[in-house]
Amino acid sequence: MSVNINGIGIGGYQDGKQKDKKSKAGQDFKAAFAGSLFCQEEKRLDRKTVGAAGINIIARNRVTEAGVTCDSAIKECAVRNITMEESDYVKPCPADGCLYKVLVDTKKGVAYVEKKAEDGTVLGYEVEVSKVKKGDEDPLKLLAMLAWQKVVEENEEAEAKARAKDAVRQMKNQASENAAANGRPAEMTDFQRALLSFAEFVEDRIKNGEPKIPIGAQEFSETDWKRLLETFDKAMDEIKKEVQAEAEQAARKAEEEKAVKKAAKEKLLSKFSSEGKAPYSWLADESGCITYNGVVFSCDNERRCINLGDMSNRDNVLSIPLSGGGTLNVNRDNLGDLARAIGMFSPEDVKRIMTAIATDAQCQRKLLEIEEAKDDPKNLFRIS
Amino acid sequence: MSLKKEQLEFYFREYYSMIFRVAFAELKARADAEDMVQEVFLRFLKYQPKFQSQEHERAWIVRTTINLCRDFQRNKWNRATVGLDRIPEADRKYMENPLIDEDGVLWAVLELPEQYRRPLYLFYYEDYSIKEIATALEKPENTVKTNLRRGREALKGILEAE
Repeated sequence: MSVNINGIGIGGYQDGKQKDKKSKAGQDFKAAFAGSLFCQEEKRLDRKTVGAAGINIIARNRVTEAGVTCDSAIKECAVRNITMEESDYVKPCPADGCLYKVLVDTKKGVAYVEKKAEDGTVLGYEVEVSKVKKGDEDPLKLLAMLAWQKVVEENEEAEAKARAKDAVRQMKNQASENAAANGRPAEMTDFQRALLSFAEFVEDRIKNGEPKIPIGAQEFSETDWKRLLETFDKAMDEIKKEVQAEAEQAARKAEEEKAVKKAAKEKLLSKFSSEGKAPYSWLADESGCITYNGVVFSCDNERRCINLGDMSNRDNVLSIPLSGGGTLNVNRDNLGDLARAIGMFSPEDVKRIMTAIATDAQCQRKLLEIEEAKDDPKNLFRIS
Repeated sequence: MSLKKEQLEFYFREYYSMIFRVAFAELKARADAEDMVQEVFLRFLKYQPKFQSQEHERAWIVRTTINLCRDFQRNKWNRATVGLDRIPEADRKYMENPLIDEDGVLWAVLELPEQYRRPLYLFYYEDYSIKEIATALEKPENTVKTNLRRGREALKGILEAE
């Protein structure tokens, strides 16, 4: 029997392989055997698909003709058009443009893989699971192995359930038999009863899943509820952290504003403060002179005094202490100017100035009388 | 001839899950999807359509579901409310099909615009043929094929962006 590989014939294979010539047969063979099934599939996809429900008659004809072998594990076969419900494993791959359905036959050790492509063409493959090598990355083989594993696990689970049921039934039967032999009514030991109730609990869980509790419009199992609470707690912690960070930032901002205000206040107050400064110095200009109503006072911060008039002759200068600290030194000849600028002073200071001027006037009169009395001894003891 | 109880039960068992999933994919809310399932079966009882083939039956079911979902979304009440753009993670379990090995690509499919989402979902996740999808969505087969191809490209874009 000659081996017909992709309909080319062994001669072409040998020519291509041994002579390594780029003959048409060898080249076709190499291209077709390039490594993946996809080269072949693309060739077939170029041809028209005939028949209802996507049946690929061309594929069927190729099978009846030659039994095409693409790989030792994979063989193309007739499309069976299985539904999702009939399949053991379904894998949609919308990003790759195909849907795979796999049906496993554990007795024959074969997985039937049906591939539906984006343009509607359907192809069928049989994968011999025993020939699939470990680490093989062919998608058809991977899918076949996944489906096989799933079916085997399900079968094992079903067998385990059946065995558990049998064990429970045997226990019950044994208990009845023992009781019948002893002439007593059937009863189980505590251990058997506990085992039975556990078996029923496991069966119920497998059948119905975790019990669900209706909460509002939804149902939650314990696991779902715990997961929801964890998500909620996490969100709450994050919100708390955010709130705390915002509060800290606001406190920092308030402190900064407070410090700025304090500095501005101190600056303002220092302007009005008389410590180490001449009285009324806040009215002074850059040159240190106060001008009020055309009257010019000079400020002396060292002595803490303001001066009006000529200060060279101290005998002619009147020193008046002011209420806020410091003194007003005014030349007797400039009392008229002082009267013009009296509005600059506070009422307390005005009172002091007026008192000082009156006292000074009285003193001056007394001095004059004394001077006159020196000249006339008769007037010495006259009281005015 | 009116439907017998056993026939109705058969249709209910056969199509309930699929109708629910299609409605849930459209409306993204479990309660609304359940209402749509009821509406579809009410329509089924009311009109008792005669199907020429199983293809026709499946197409009718999907077309009715999609049309009812569209009417529901256009409803005055629903226009005044804000719908969900994505299915909340807690509700994703309602879209699970126990027959399918799902790897998360479904959620990206459901984010596509409806002209791509519907054919992609029906083709890959409900195993509808192109002819059934064309009948259900009342579009030509070539349009469905084009939308499948464009949808796949858009899906690749979403998956790469993620």
